[in-house]
Amino acid sequence: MNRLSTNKVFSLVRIGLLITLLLTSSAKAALLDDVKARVTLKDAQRGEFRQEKRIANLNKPLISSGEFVYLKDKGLLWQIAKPYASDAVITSETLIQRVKGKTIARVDAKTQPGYGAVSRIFMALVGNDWAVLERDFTISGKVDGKNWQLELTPKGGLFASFANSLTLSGAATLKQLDIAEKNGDSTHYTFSNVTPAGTLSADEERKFILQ
Amino acid sequence: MSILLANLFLRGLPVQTNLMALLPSGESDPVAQRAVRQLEQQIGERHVLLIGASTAPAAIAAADQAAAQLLQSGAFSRVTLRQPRGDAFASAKALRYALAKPETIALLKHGELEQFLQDQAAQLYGPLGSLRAALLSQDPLFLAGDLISRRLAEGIDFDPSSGVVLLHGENKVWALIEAKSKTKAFDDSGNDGGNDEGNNAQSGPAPTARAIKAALSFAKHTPGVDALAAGVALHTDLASKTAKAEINRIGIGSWLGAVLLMWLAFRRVSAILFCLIPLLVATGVAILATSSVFGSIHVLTLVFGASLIGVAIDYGTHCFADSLGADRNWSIAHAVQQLRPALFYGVATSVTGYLALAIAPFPGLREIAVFSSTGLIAAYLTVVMAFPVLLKHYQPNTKGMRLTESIIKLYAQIPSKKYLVLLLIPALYGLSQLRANDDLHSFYTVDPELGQMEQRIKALFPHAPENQFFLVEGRDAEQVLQRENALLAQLNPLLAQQKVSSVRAISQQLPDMATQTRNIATLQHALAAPQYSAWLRELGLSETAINADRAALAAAKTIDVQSWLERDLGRGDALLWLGKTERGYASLVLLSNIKDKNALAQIRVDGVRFVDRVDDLSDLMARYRNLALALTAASLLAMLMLMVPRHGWRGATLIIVPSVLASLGALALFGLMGIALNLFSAFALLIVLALGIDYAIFFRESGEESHCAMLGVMLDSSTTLLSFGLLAMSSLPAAQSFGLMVLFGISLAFIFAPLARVQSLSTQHQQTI
Repeated sequence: MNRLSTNKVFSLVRIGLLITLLLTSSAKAALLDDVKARVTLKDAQRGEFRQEKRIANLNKPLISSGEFVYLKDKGLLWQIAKPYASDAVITSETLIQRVKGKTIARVDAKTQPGYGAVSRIFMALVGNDWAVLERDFTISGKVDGKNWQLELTPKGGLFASFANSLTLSGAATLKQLDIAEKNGDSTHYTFSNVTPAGTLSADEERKFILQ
Repeated sequence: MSILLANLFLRGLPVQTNLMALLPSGESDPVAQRAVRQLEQQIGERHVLLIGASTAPAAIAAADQAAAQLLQSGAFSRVTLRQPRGDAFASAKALRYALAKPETIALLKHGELEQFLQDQAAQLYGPLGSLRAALLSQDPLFLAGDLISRRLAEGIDFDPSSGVVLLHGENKVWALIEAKSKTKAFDDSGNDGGNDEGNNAQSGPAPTARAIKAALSFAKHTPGVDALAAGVALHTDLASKTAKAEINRIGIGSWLGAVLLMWLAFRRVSAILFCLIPLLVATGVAILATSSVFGSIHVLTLVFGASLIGVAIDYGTHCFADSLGADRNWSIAHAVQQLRPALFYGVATSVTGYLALAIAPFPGLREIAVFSSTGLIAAYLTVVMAFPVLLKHYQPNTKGMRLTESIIKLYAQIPSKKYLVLLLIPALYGLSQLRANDDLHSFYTVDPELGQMEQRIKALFPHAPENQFFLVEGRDAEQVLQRENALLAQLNPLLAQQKVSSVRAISQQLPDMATQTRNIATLQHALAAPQYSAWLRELGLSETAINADRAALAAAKTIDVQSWLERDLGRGDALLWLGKTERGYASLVLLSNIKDKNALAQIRVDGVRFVDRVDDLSDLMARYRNLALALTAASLLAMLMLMVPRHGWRGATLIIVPSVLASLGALALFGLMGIALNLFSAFALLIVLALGIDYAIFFRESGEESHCAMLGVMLDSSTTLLSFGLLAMSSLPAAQSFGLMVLFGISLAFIFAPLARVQSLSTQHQQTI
C-alpha cells in the first residue's frame, strides 16, 4: 500500500498550478487587492494558449497549443490542437483527458486524494480565498499601471517538492505563466485572445460532460 | 526444586498474555496453517497510528513528534513515518518491459502502434504530462512510470517532499505512522529467528501499548490534532491487565475463603497452616511444570489455575476432618493411612478429568491440564508423605463438628429420595432448552474504546486486510501465479459489485514467466518498427538516448518471484508470498472490506482455497465441544469400571449417580437460564464429573461414619465453589462459562454426594488397604 510513486502526485500538482495560474489574481494585502482590481475577466473566459516545456536531455522544447474555456461552475476545458489533438476537462472532482472521445487518462478525487488537495487550492483561487493561498505560498510582486506581476513561492508540501517558483503576469487577464521546476525543467505558458466565454458551442457543451 | 523455582522468579515468570496464543490455528492443513501464521505475525507486529490535523504540514509535524516519541520508547524495532526512498524508479525501469500493463501489450499485439504512440504523446502534452516529460529521455513510453503508479493503492495520498503517507477523512488530513513492535504478538516459543532485539521478546505487550498510548495522548495535547491507533498489543495488553487483576481477585478470594472455612471447622491455627502446605507445594510444582513444558504460562492458565486452590486444599482438609470424629487414640499417621485409598481415587479421577482437557488441540486447555494435574499430584503426595511426619503431635479440636451435624440433620429431613423425581420435569424442560454458541467472538471481548478507534481507522484507511483470504497453491511459482490470475479474473466482477473493496495479489504486478516472456517479445517486435524511432526523434530525443532505449529493450529480462521480493518495488509483496511448502508453492491473496463472504467462498479455481479462520475456529470449537460432552460420558463409564473392583456394581453405581445428576442438573440450569453451552462449559462438565465422583468416594469410603466425610466434602465443595464461583464472575467470557458450569455442577454434586453413602442397614464391610 505504501510503495508509492510520485508521478501522479506530481502531475496533479501541475494541474493545480496550471489552474491556479490561469485564473489567478492572488497576492497579499494591498498587493493582492491591487491585482484583484485589475483582473476583470474571471468567472467565464475563453482564449488561446501556447505551452512550451523545456526539458533537460531533449534537443528541443515540447510545444503545444490550443484553446481553453473556463466556466466557474463547470470547470476548465483544455483543448490541445497541435501537435497531437486531445482535450481535457478539469473540475474540482475529476480530470479526464480524451483523444477522439476515448478516455486516455483519468484522475478522481475520490480515489486519489492528492487531487482533492490540489483542487482545494483551485477552489480557493476561484473563490478569491486569499487566506488559503497564502497558507501554501509566499507571495510577492508588483503592479505597474494596468499590468501586474506576482511571484508565488511554495512554502512546503506538494508544491514545494515540485516547483521552485511560479511567476504570473497579466493585466485584465492572465497573460503569462512560468513554472520553474526543481529538477531544472521549466514550463512557459502564453495566453492570448482572452475574451468572455459567451455561449458554448455544441461541441464544447458535449466535451464538458464528464462521463 | 525451590532453587529452580527461585531461579524462575528471579528471571521473571514467562507469562504469555496474548489470548490468541490459546487458540489453535484452526487449520489442520499445514500450508494453510503457515499462511495464517504468516499473516498474523505480520499483522501482530504491526501497529498503525494516524495523526490528524486540518492541514498536511500540521499533521506531518505532529506525526514527526509522535514518531520520535515512539522510537525513543524503545518498544519498537522500526517506526516508519517517512517512507524510505528506495530507488523504485530504477527497479521499475529494469522491469518495465517484462511487467508492462496488459492493456499496453494488447494494443501492441494488435498492431496498433500508431494509435498507442499518439495516445502517449497526447498524455505527454496534456495536463498530466509533466512527469512523463521529465522522464521522456529515460523511459519514453512511461512504462516504468505506469508500473510504479499501479503500486499506488487507491485512496492513499503521498507527500513527495516529506515521504509521508497521507489519508483524508473526518475533515482532516492524517499522517500514517507504522510501528513494528519488538515483542512478537504471536510468539512461537522463543523461535525468534535470530532477531537482534531477541532479549526484549519476553517483555509482553505492555511496553508497546504504553508507548502508543503516551504518543496518542501527547499528540492530542496540540489543539486541533487528533490521533488514532490500532494494533494487537493494545488488545492483548488490556486483556492481560484484566486477567492479572482477576488472578489476584480469584486467588486472594479463594485463600481468604478457604482459611475462613477451615477456621470454622477446625478451630486450630496449626490445622489451617498445615492445610496450606500442600497448596503451596501444588502451586509451585504446577508453575514449574507448566513453564518447563510450554516455555511460558499463559495468564488465562493462571486464572484457571487460581481456582486449583479450591481442589488442592481438599486433601489436607480430609485428614483434619477425619480428626474431628476421633477418639484419644487418633493420630494423623493413622488417618492418612485410612484415607489413602479415598485420596488416591480422588486424585486419580480429578487428574483424569483434567487430563481429558488436553485432548483438545487448544494450547490453552493443554496448559490448564498440565498445570492442574501436576499441581494435584503434588498436593496428594505432600499430604500422604509429609503429613504423618509433620503432624505427629496434632491434637484435634472438635467444636467444628456442630457445623456438619446440622447439615446431616438437614439431609435426614429430606423424606425420601423418591421426591427427586419431581425435579425431573423442570430438569427435562431445561435440557430441552439447552443450546450452544461456538462463535469465536464469545471467546474474548473487544474493548469498546479500542473497537471504535479501529472502526474509524478502517473508514479512513480501507485497505486493511481482513482475516479471510485466498490461499493459492501450485506445483511451482509459475503455476501459483497463473492460478492467481484465474482467481483475479473471477474476483473482478465482485470488485465491480463492491462485494469486496480491494484485492491484493502478487500477480497484480508480477505476471507469470510465460506472460513476461510474451510481453518482452511483443514489445521487441512492435517497437522495432521505424515509426517508433521516428516518434522519438520527433519529440526531440537525442540519438544517444534513442540508442540507449533500443539497447534496453533488446536486453529486457524476466524476473522471478524471489528476485522481485528483493527489489525496492516488490519488497512490499513479501507478505503475500508463502514460498515453498510441503506440497509445492503457495501465495496469499488478501481482501479488504468484505461485504459478501459467501460470494467469495463460492469461488472455485484449481489450487485456490478460501481460508476463513474465524469460521474455521468456530467450527473447531463446536467439534471439540461435542467431543468434550462425549468424553464426559466416556469417562463416566471408565470411572464406573475403576470403582467396581473395590465397591462392587451397586457401590460403584452409587458413586457415579451423584455426578450424573449434578451434570444433568447443571446442564438443565444452563438451559433454564438461557446460557449457551460452549467448549469451555463442556470441559467444565468433565471437572464437575471428576470432583463429584471425588466427593461420592469420600462418602462411600467413610462407611457408616459419614460425619467426617460430610465435613470434608463440605469443605471441599465450598473451597471449590469459592474459587470457581469467583471464576464465574470473570470478565473473560471463556473463564466465565467455565466457572458457571463448575459453580452449578459442584453445588449439585455436593447436594447429591450423600446418595453414595453406605446405608446404615447395609451389610457391606469396610475394608482397608
